[in-house]
Amino acid sequence: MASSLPPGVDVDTLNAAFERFRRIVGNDWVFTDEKLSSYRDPYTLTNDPTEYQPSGAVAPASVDEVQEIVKVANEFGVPLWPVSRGNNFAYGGSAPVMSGTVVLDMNRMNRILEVNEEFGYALVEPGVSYFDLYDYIQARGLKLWLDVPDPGFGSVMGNALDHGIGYTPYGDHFGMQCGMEVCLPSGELVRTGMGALEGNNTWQLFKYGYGPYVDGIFSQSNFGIVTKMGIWLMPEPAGYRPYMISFEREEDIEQVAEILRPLKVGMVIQNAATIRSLIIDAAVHETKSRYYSGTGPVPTSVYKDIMADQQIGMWNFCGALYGPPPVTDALWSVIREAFSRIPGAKFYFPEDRTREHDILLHRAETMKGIPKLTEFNFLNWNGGGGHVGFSPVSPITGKDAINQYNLVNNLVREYGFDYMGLMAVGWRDMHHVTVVVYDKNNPDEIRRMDEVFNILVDEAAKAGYGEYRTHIRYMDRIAQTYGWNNGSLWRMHETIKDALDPNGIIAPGKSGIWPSRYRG
Amino acid sequence: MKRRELIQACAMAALFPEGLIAGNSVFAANTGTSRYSRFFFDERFVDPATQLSNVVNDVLLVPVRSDVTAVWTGMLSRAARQQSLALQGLTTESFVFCLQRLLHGSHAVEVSMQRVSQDLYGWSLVADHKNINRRVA
Repeated sequence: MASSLPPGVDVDTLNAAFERFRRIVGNDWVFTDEKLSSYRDPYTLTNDPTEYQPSGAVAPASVDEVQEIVKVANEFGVPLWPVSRGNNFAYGGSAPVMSGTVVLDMNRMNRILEVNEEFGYALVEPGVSYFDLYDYIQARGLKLWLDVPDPGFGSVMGNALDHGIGYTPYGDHFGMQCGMEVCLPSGELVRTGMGALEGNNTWQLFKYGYGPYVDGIFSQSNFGIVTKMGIWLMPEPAGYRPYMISFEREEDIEQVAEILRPLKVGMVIQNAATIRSLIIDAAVHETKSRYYSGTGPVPTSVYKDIMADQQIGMWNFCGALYGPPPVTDALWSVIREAFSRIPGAKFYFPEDRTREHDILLHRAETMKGIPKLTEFNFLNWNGGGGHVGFSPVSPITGKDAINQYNLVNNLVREYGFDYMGLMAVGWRDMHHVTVVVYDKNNPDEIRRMDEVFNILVDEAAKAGYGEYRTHIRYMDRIAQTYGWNNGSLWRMHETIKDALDPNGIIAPGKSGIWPSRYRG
Repeated sequence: MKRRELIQACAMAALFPEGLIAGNSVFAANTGTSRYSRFFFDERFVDPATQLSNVVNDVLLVPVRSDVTAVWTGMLSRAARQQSLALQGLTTESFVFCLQRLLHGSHAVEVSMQRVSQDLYGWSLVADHKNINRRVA
């Protein structure tokens, strides 16, 4: 018996599909009704309980089983929502955009197929987590480092496919991807790049192969189900020196970004560094009740107390130096001199920190690729646990940094939330990752959160900022902001979607891409 | 203990009467011989001597501070590969949430949870091992 039905599919048809799924994966690996709780969005952004509800979940253990499931889905017209580990929690977890969609849970496909120390890469299945890959490397004493996002229980593949970021020099995860195996919506398998050449030995070494480079169309998309992926790993460097520079005033972000740009573009700053704001850093190790007992956002008059208590600033630039000491010493002298121009800047290495539970000591592990779950602590700031990510992209300029900060800070505070943002520095851009933390059991907070998020999207778009990634609830809305030339890019996506997936069975609505079957 | 932490601990002690464990439905099973092997408590908010005195003797009390990472990599990950787990806690929400998600792939997880203050949740978690064949090459 199904919990909710996909549009156009009756209950008998759905149950018949589930029966076929059971024949493929076994009774224990098809989930319906009360066993679906872990496939729902734990941080829901709606008070409507009928939204984003899967009708079931099926968990294959092999590529063959994925192919069989896809064929059955085509036969019965049952849509599938593929997830690798389903732990993308600021963006919806395992929950589908369209209620009634069946979650294709690839947690059990957790083989590490190869780790190559000489060339620095791994070939993994979707269910391999950062913890899994880290343990594998440590157990064998391989001289390789991972690049990890903040949630260590996430999927190596899933994070890269969703354009996730980390904090070492390999922080652009999709940029470090090399070679895929994809189950197309027809059930046919393809291998991309050099993987298409029989007997090749370069699938994880050269991205482009021959002909069009297609890997990108399988990221943040619904054009196929990636079943294997190569990811480059960083050789263990000859030295490692994490550091933090704190800045006292809100307006310092403008000068920080201006100083940062030439250092990053010129590769003096080696890693995917972050400029973290006061409250997000404070919330990693304490809760709001330690500093403020009122409702709503923390008054700015309390900021100095928090800074003093946690030995942090209004902005905290966390970076790291990688390489032999003569190299890192030289880089550090340039970085220190540049940021010393900002009055009140304070410079720290881990040995300078005095708190046992400290932001730099924590980030120092993350910036060397140790998977953790520490960042989840900030969800406890108000005690309510809910969070969503609003993540517009901007150039690395002082003007954009202060504009983005003012835009988001003013709006979230007006709606009763604290500003908890960070600016993650890419090769040429900044991802302004703002986490809005709310009480997931408070309908009024959910309503306010939803309202302010929609305003943020619109205001950011008016200023020329687009989000790089979003929660399932806002996928259509964000897609609409990418509307140049009357939405030609999304029309192209729809054309590809209809060609590859004529029955519209893979992830309807993912990234705002709908198959013809569900388009109005 | 710093003065601020002492004041906070005293305030929390007032918030949680000694009967918290015995009187809370989430912990109803925790009387007599417990099926639960470990009880996690957030050391910032809970004084085990006064507030966890009703937890039965054979349960291991484990102090934590929201972050599940060390607990998972240090003890639970290995244990979870081999057996079912029954755990309880008085922690922040993210601790039990992360624990639940870590176990999700290999266990059928059932959690009872109740908010007991602005920062704390009381919870019981039972994770039945699915005996997944981890096929790491």
